[in-house]
Amino acid sequence: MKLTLHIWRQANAQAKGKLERHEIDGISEEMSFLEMLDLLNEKLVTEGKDAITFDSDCREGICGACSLAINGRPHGPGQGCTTCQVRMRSFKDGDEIWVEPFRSGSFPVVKDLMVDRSALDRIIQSGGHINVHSGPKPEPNSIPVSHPVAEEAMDASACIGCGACVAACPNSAGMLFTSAKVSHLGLLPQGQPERYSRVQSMVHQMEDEGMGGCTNHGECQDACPMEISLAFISRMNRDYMKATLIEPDQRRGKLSNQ
Amino acid sequence: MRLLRFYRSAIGKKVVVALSGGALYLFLIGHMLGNMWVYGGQEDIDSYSHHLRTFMEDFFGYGGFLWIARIGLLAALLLHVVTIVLLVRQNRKARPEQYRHKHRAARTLASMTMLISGPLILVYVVLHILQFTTGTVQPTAYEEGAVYANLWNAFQVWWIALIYIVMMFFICLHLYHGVWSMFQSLGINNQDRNKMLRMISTVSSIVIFVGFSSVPTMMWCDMLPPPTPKESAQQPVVQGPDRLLVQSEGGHDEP
Ligand code: HEM
Ligand code: FES
Repeated sequence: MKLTLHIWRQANAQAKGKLERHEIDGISEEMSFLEMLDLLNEKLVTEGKDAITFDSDCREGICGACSLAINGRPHGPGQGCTTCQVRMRSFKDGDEIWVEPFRSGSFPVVKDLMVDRSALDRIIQSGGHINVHSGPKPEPNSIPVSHPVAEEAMDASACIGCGACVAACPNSAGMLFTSAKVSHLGLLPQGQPERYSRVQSMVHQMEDEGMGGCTNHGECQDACPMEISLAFISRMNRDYMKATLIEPDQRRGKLSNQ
Repeated sequence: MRLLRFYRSAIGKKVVVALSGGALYLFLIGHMLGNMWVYGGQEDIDSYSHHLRTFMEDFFGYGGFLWIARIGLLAALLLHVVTIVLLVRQNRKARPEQYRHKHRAARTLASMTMLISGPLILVYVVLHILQFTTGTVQPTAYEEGAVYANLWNAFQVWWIALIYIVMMFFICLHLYHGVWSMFQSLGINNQDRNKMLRMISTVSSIVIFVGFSSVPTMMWCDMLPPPTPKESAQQPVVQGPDRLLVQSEGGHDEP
């Protein structure tokens, strides 16, 4: 099939970007979207032009490296799949396709379609891990976790950290990502000791990264390749309220009654 | 302070928006139910309005209860609006560059127009109070305490009735997204409850639209009897220091 592509070209974070028009022919339905871009790049290189920069790694939907918005939708058409899993059969001969980077103030453009998503790493660093042993006894791995709870934690942990939620959100909020990370640890016994400090530091880091707040549009849930539920955002709101308003900061000491 | 730390985060701000919006939502339901006295006739709605002023008079004084409600509502409205302004500023900054090719997957008409319906409500509320509570703006004959007659006079004019009906549509739109969103912001939503909460939001916004807009519609179409001048003159003349400012509680005025 023959396609017209409008691809975002931008030299670096400071430069002004623009859409560039490309025509490409000989695309088969079985090709993946990224293979189509590879083909275009080969053509550009043979013509002595600058190849289009984009991210990818595993190309099987597990690493979260690929990004891109295809026709304004992070990871393009199709529910629950990443850009690398999009096949060209989603398009018709003669289609015009717009390819843009994930857009967010927190994701500066490195070049063309590649953005710097280390804001997400810094959110993880701020609390998305287990630092302390959950007590002398019993050993946490011996605490039974009921099957439904294990499944729920598993659903949250499916997040591959691609940043599509931030890119899809009109406010560039990192709520779906952060809530998935907060919840998958917060649902399991190993995550309990730091549950309330974790939610605070991760939420505060998220906002320090310049991300916006949630307006409950649900765009993130729709774009998420791992189909992570908005319910985790509600759960994070609950944990955050409890952490900031109810749980004491100062846990020790006597109380004076006068 | 911990409350400040809470308010500094967008989640905390959303909780404030949700709680203040929730208070306004409960008020709207009360107000709509109060308006139903219109269907009891002129005497019923006029005495309901009077009753709101004498409610717990011994304790708060004449109109005292109403003033407490008004101050509470004004505080909620201020918190709601100021917090929204702060959030909108944060959200705008977070996405400096927009997609050239726009795509909409999950946003609804209601959720995308919160920043249109909200400010419209604000303008409407001010005009509405000036018209029926304080009588400052009198496009049609107005007499203090003669609730039914004031409504009837106003809604004989097609464009006044129309403005009220259209504004009720915007309030309905605001609540269609707002009420569900409130449960989500407060962390009340989960997989089990979502369907019910979505339903509460849809049904209550429609009920509020129908309840409020039925009064201007029916008066305009002459489906309600005109006021009897004598009876409205007999109504206890309402005096006192109230009748200014803010939200009026219950159906002594609004459609
Ligand atoms: C009778 C008056 C009003 C009621 C009952 C009401 C109710 C609500 C409710 C329940 C929410 C959801 C809160 C949340 O998700 O956290 C909301 C959100 C909102 N309200 Fe109102 N509101 C009213 C007036 C206003 C006014 C006057 C404005 C004007 C600026 C406004 C602007 C907004 C905006 C922009 C949102 C969206 C917040 C977001 O998505 O983040 N509202 N409102
Ligand atoms: S390249 Fe690994 S998920 Fe797409």
